[in-house]
Amino acid sequence: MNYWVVIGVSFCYLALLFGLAWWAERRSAAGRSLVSNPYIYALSMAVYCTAWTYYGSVGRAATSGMEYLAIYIGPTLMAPLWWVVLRKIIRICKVQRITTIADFISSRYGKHVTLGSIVTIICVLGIIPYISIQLKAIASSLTILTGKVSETEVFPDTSFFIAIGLGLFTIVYGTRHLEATERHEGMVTAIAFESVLKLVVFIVAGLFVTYGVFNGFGDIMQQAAQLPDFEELITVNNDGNYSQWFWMVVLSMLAILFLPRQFQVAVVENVNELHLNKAMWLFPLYLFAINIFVLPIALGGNLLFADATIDADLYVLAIPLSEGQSILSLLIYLGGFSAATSMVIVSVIALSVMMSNNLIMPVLVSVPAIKNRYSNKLTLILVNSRRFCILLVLVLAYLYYKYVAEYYSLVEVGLVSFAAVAQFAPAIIGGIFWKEGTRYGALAGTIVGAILWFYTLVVPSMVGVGMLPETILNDGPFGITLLKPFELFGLQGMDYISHAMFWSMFLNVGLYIGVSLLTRQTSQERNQAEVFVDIFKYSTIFESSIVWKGTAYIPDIKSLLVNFLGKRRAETAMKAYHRKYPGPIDETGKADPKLVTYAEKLLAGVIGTSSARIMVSSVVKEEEISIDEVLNILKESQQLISINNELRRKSMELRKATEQLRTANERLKHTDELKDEFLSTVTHELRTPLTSIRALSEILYDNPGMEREDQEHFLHTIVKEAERLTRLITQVLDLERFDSGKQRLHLQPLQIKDVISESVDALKQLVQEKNIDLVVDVQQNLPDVLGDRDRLIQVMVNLISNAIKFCNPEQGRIIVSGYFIDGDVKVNVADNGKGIAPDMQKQIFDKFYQAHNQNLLKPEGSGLGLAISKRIIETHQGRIWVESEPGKGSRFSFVLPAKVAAAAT
Amino acid sequence: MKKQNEKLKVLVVDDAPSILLPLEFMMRKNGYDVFVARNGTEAIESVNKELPQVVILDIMMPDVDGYEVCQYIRSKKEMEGAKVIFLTAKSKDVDIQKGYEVGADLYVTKPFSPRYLLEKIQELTEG
Amino acid sequence: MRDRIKGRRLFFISALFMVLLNFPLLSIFDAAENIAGVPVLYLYLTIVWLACIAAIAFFINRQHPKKVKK
Repeated sequence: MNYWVVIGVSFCYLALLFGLAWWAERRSAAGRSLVSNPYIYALSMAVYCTAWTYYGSVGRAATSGMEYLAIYIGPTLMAPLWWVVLRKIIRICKVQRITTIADFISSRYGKHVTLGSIVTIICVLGIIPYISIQLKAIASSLTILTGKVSETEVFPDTSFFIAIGLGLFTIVYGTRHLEATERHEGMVTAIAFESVLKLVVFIVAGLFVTYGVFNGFGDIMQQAAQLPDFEELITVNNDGNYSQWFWMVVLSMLAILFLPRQFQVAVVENVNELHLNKAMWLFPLYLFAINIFVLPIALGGNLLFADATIDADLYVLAIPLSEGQSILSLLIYLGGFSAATSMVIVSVIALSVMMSNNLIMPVLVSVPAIKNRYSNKLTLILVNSRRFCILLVLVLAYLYYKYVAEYYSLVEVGLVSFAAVAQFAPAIIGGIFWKEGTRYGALAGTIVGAILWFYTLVVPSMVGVGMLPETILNDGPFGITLLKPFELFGLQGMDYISHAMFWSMFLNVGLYIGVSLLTRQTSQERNQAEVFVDIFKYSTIFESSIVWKGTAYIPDIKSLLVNFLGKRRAETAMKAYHRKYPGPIDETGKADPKLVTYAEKLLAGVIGTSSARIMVSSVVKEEEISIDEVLNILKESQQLISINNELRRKSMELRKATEQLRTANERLKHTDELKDEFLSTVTHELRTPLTSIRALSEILYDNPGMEREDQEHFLHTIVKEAERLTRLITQVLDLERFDSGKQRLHLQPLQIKDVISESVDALKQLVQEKNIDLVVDVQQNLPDVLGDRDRLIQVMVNLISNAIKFCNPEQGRIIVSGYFIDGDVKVNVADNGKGIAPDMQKQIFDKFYQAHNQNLLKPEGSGLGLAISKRIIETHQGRIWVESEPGKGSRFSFVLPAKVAAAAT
Repeated sequence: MKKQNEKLKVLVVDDAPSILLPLEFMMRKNGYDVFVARNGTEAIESVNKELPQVVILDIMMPDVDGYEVCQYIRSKKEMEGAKVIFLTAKSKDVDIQKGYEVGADLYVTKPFSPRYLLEKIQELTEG
Repeated sequence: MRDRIKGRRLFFISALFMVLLNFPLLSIFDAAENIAGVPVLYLYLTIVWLACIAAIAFFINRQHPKKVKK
């Protein structure tokens, strides 16, 4: 394929990425962020899959068997722990505005400049080989695709231009914003896109090899079984030594957390901690998916190129090429290119921030001469130093590729980088879970671990390319056999990765813990340790959790912010501060300690924590503060939090109690209202007869000579009204007794028939007067009921007199019936009156129902009769109700439980 | 002052016969022309028909209540100058206030003294 | 509190699969044998790996222990 076509396509691809990033940032500026969802987050984490995965896995699978999978199983095992570890790291970084892993470590151990710069140097040294293999992958895929002869000897060669091109691209792309905490939404979008691309293309390549070149997976397996090293390829390790598998799993578990680019996408670019939930299983699923076709491609490549000398790392590309599939090959090349570029872009951005914040800034801000002279150009210097670092890292990576990586496989070099970042594990994991870890412990562990890493992994690789004499490997340096890099202190029988990891981790962890236990923390260190370990307690009150004593002036703090944030953003930040901590501003212009912490946090986002510390302490006068003081104040602020929580709990309880009280009160009020209503109705009902009696009496008194007829009429009315009054009072008292449960029934076995006939007798006269046809039909031999005779008569009289009142005025007809049904004695009183509307059939049993419904034609009676009847029947364990069809009449019924013994006889 | 031939027309409205009895007797004895209504509807009919000068009104009645009857009277041109007296068991301040608001000349609570009521009617019609 | 329970469950998954996907269990399947044309180790790793992912997804979505009905 034409060389320039491929180069052109590569640059078009970079332009596409750039456009994508630009578009994404436009969208995010318009408030429609693409990045703020868990899928993009999980995909951006897939920056883990670099050219190592894309090309190197196949190479590893084709040459040494199953252990290529360990690198993907490790992150899968780490993913569930993200909820505990990564979430904590994210929270710490967000609260403290930490943007790099070096910042993280230096911040935890008291914002120590030396520690930060050592971590940075280890990172740079460790990651450069990793970047170099991306360059190597791009260069060799380009070579195999175009057939252009490798120009190893020539300088500058293609890969150099690729490195520079990527560098320029990253500069335009990643250093437009100054503040590192500002998330790079464009970059994340581009990375997510690349993750999709490399996965899809790799699967397409896998499908092509498996089903296009061979007849499926089974076919490849069958043919591959003939290969001489087949057994070796489908097992882990043939000499029964699994430590390499174990260490690779552990290494990749740590790498997924601590590789600068992973830290960048997983922590700095994290929008929402809850996105972790989906990422925890989506990301492992991605890893799984991208590995499905590794084995078929590897075995297929081994079969196809059994005799040819093709680098197994490039089988993915070589197979479609050999089949003449040029479009597919170009696509696969682009997939690999995307895998490599995504890693390079993110890593280089992360490293450049780290270098400028931890190596360059501390020097600039701590040399007074420089600081004073360039104080208003510091931001410019900062950006340019980042740009410079980007190019520097890429050039170094290129050189490493040229002189070292060229001679090793992708995976071999990659593992060296993994081992480097693993050296941060004790200081970080210890730092977020163990308060006693000290700066000296972290320094000792990290430095010694890094030295051992260098000695046992990097030095041998330099020997391998002839930069160092081979005698170091065979006889040890200066002939000291105990110091042989692969058999340090005489430790034998391990592969080189296990050997290096064992020694570096053993000494790193051991020194970290041991030295920590022997040394003391400074108060500032202790403060940070408390905040890091208990971040979930402090994250909402971070500014008050940093204990600080001294004198600072607001104008100084402001000008510091203006220098690094610019005037506008500094003002916004000050406003935000005052919103969060409202209160009077000190008249002398002295700044509150919280403001100092706040400003330092903002600066940390721009120039890193340790430089921010230097800057802030240069404008304020700080006082020594003892650890005890720090701990006491922290304890107080924690107590404050717990008091706050307690208060919140209490006030919630209070609110609940208030709510309960309110409903109780409402209920009471309702009862009260009912009672009021009852009383006013009662008085009203009492007043009518009383009024009549009073008026009639007065007239009788004033008119002694009135006619006898009138006199009699008046007196008769007075008597009747007085009777009515008495009845009413009795009923009200009755009702009250039933309602309060004071009413006693005189229960005795009785025949309902007797009750009915007695009641009918009492009303006989009235019935006759009104010319009503009253029919009584009671079943013979009814069982007894247990009841209060007088009360039941009261009910019957009430029901029958109601029926008399309401039945048809012309042709009144009342039927009273009684019978035994379902173990009960049932009594009906039916009339042929107007009937009762369905919605009123329940209400008529309420007290004073008539009185409340003035629309009803008011018959004589108190309106308490049915209410009392209901209570009497219910006290007898019975039930009373009415059925009615308006226009045809009503039927009142009640049932009383029959006395079973009587029924049986 | 009133002449026998121009008897004062009084309309008594109450739903309780036992209260109508003394009222009717008392008014008639005093020489008034008495009309009786047992509910609001009857009252309005009677107002339209007889145009009474004095109306004695109960408030709590089935159908149209006393307030509404009073409002009706006040809205009727021919009834201008008629006196409305509420005679009711409703004795709460709000009820009394409402009675005057709808245009009553007097508000008397039950139980009442016929003597007092008569005096008041005379005061209202002659004063 | 809920976060802590969730963290412990996820920790358990991690520890469990760490054992399942390492020596010595791995050595049981570390043989040059096929099942239905697929190497046993490859088959074992694939299945356990998928199971691990499924377990994570399952436990994340089931963060509340179901209340015991009386």
